[in-house]
Amino acid sequence: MASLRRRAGEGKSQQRMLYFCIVAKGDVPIFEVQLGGHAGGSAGGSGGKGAAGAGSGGGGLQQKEDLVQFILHAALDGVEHKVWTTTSMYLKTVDKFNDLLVSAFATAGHVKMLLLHDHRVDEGHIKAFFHDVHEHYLKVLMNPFYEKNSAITSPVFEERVHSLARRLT
Amino acid sequence: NPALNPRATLSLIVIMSSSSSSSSAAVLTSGEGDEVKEQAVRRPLVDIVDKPLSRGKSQVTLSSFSYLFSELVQYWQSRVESTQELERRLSDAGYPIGLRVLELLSWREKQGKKEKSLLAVLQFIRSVVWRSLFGKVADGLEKSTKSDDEYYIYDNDPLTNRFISVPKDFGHLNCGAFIAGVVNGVLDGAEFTATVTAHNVPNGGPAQTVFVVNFDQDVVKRDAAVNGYK
Repeated sequence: MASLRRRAGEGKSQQRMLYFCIVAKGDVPIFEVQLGGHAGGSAGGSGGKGAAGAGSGGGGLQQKEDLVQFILHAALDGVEHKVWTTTSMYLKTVDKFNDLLVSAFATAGHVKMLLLHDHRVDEGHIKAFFHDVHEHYLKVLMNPFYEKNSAITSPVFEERVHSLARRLT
Repeated sequence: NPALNPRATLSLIVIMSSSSSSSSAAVLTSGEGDEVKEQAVRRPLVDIVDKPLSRGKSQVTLSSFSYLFSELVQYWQSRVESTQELERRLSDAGYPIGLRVLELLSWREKQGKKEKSLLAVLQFIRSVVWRSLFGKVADGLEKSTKSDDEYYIYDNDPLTNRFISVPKDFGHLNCGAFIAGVVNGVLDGAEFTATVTAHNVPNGGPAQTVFVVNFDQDVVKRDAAVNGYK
């Protein structure tokens, strides 16, 4: 079970909204992380709201996380619509929420990667980020013991995603 | 005897064992008291995520594959009640390979492009997938005249059947069901759900097999809507 260790007062700092998730068949998230500066703010695991850790500053951040999941889930409609219009895997921006954008990437096996970000992130960087994560995903997929559409639990994978995301900020 | 040991370009076993093999060989228990240092090659454990993806140049001998495949068939043969179930088990064994082959080959051979039309995905299977797995393209791709959701892929000499002889009491068993499972995996992964079965061609050559692909109706409808025909 993923436990969230939240530092008190974290929500008050200038935290960039940068949230990444991989969604498999049946709209089930198989990998979710919050990217950007804060090391204590990552939520890994499948389909979980990560409600396991109740920190002191937990209330407001919990709402935010629920909202993020809601936004990303709603963005899947946009992905479905765009995925059949192009043969390219990178789908650019598929949805908007207030001032936040959702960019998407769909692999050949229709595994969707979603990135929730603000307008300050450069599109070229996003495309490169998606392509690199895609390559790492392929390596996880090639493992014959990994069942497709199941949660990605490899900590090394998560580390790599975080280091790739540094280019985005 | 050239037939027994040609080098078939076959990445099935390679995919099946690609990532996990070398990482498991790495850590040797060489404690303080051990003398065997000259033999031991200490390689640090590298996670699969950090190793580069295979470029697809490796080959596996036909004999290794045939041996492994025959064991697979024999394993299920003793555990099923009917030939249909045996074919289904073989197909299930091929399915996860299809899922992986789709993703890997799209990345490697198609520069990150995915197919969005039914014909395109069938062409992808017929050429890219077949060439990567068997070293040749499929011998034929035809659309059925009977229904608009049925297609046929022909292979005059499927690798799986090369060393299998089916006795009379096994009826119409075709071990190409394994390959049918691979095709099924590719199609399902690409969101073109279909049922794929392997059949012996009655008037064709001795080993000729046809893979009958039956797409779901909603897939056909979606394809027509997306690509604007009919």
